[in-house]
Amino acid sequence: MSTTTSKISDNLRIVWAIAAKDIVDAIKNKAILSTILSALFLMVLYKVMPFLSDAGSPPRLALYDAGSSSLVARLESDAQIDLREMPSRKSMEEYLGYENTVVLGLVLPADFDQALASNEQIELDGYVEHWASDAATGEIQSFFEEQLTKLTGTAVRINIESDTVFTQLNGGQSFIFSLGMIVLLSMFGLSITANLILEEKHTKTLDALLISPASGGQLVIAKALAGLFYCLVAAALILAFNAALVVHWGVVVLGVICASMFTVALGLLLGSIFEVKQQLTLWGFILFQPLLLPVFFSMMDDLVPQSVIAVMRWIPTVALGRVFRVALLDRAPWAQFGPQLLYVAGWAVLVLAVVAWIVRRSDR
Amino acid sequence: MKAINVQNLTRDYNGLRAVDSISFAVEPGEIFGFLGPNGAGKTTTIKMLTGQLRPTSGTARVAGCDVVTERGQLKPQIGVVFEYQNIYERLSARDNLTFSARLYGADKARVNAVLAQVGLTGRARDRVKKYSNGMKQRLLIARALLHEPKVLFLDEPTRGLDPNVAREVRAIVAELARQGVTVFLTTHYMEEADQLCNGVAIIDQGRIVALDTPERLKAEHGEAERVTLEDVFIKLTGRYLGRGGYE
Repeated sequence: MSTTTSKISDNLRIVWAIAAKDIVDAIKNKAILSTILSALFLMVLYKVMPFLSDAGSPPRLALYDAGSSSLVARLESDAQIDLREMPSRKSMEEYLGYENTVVLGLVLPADFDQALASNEQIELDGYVEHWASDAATGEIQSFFEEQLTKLTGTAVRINIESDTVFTQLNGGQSFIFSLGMIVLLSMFGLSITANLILEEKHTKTLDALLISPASGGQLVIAKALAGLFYCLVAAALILAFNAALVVHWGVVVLGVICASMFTVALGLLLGSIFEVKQQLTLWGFILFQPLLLPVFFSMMDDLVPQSVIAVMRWIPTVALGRVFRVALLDRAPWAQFGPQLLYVAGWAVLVLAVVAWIVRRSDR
Repeated sequence: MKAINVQNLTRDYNGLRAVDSISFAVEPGEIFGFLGPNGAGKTTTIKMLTGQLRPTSGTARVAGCDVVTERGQLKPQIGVVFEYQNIYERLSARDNLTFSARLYGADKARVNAVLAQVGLTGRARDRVKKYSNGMKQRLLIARALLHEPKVLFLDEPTRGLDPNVAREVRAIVAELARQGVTVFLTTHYMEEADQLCNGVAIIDQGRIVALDTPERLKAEHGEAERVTLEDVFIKLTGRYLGRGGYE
């Protein structure tokens, strides 16, 4: 019993020693540092781009007019408002769910014009996306209250329902969030893990490790842990930028774990196979294409044929993309994300098994 | 018990025999020189004795451990200084040694002890990339000694070093042997082997062509005062080119 405990303790000591060394050393590695910085740049760019493209545009109003109000014509002619008319409350909510910027959804009741005629204060139901900040909500609310009061000559108050309009599965925010998550986790998991192994080969420190009490298996586990650490750092950064978007944190956490395992396993595979950095750069780039481009195209269901999308769903990163998007919906039943998680975890285990086989085969 | 005991050790690579049925034994505390021209099988032998490479046939025991079946027990008993300077250059000397100490489960106090032993205490906090070749080589020796191995393998430890540093390294090796560490040394410098080694084996094309003390080998091939170990080495491993001498 004490021998078993001692063996476990030795295993943990060795694995932790290598992982801790890699975690600290990675920050000093220029190749890894440039990966981290370019990933951060991409993340900030994706986050800021929608706001930059909307800068200077008038505030947007998604309006559902239930009773053919005369106000609509006045709103249409107001240059200070970007009006989008919606045929139903549902389509108004869907429209908001696709948007990247804060939009006010408004319902004009069927008796709106009669209410106007009574000259009493009017209260309207307004909606914003669930991720909109209090400040942005307050700003758009007071802007439209002021505009509507001016246009109608009657005091208008908008009651905001902030927790009813959720992101759509293929909405803009979902797209940016899931793509960002997959790109960054792939960059961190795949690139950093592979580089950690390749550098040990390049500097021949791997030989010193393998004559130490560390085994090939412990080495692979330690590298995987260091890769996972950086994946978790990447995920934490993305989530810090997008915390307001997430509705189901459990789903996101499971998605991050599976995505990290999968990308780290791929990194271990590339690191085990290749001997020089140029090979890794070339094949890493080639591997990125079938992993990342389908994530992008699979959400363009109006452009890409359904049969192609159905095939792309079998790509692990596309399955992961769905998991991350489901985490932003109002409801996330297991059937919507569970099979995808299990599928990706299966891939991770399969790739890890291949890595274990390669390490075992090359061991002496 | 012998520190190293090798019986009919053989290793084939893709049908080519790199090491061909070699046998020798090394006593504890001995400095054993393993000499041979490039490609003779020196590094392959070291790799087999340190458990990095599985022999095709034959047996070898190092510090009482079978290099194939007791590899796990063997690892803490040996230290290796490779023929290349494989060290984490972005880390300081102290961080490199602390990392190794963690791997081996060695006492952290050993880090200071080995730094002092190789004379690097004053530069211990500097990144290794700022070190000279000689300092790096001393650090490699410190790393190999950290866990107090019974047998130390040195693969051309003075190659590329200036004479002063090479002399320092030789002094460290001699001191280790005095402390009871068995040293298995490969070198191209015959003078170094002559000066340091109690016993030498000369390997050529995978076979041991001479195995004895330097003194006896010299005596065997001429008058010991006039013949050097280099003369013996060239005679046994070089191809005669006629009047011009040996290749």
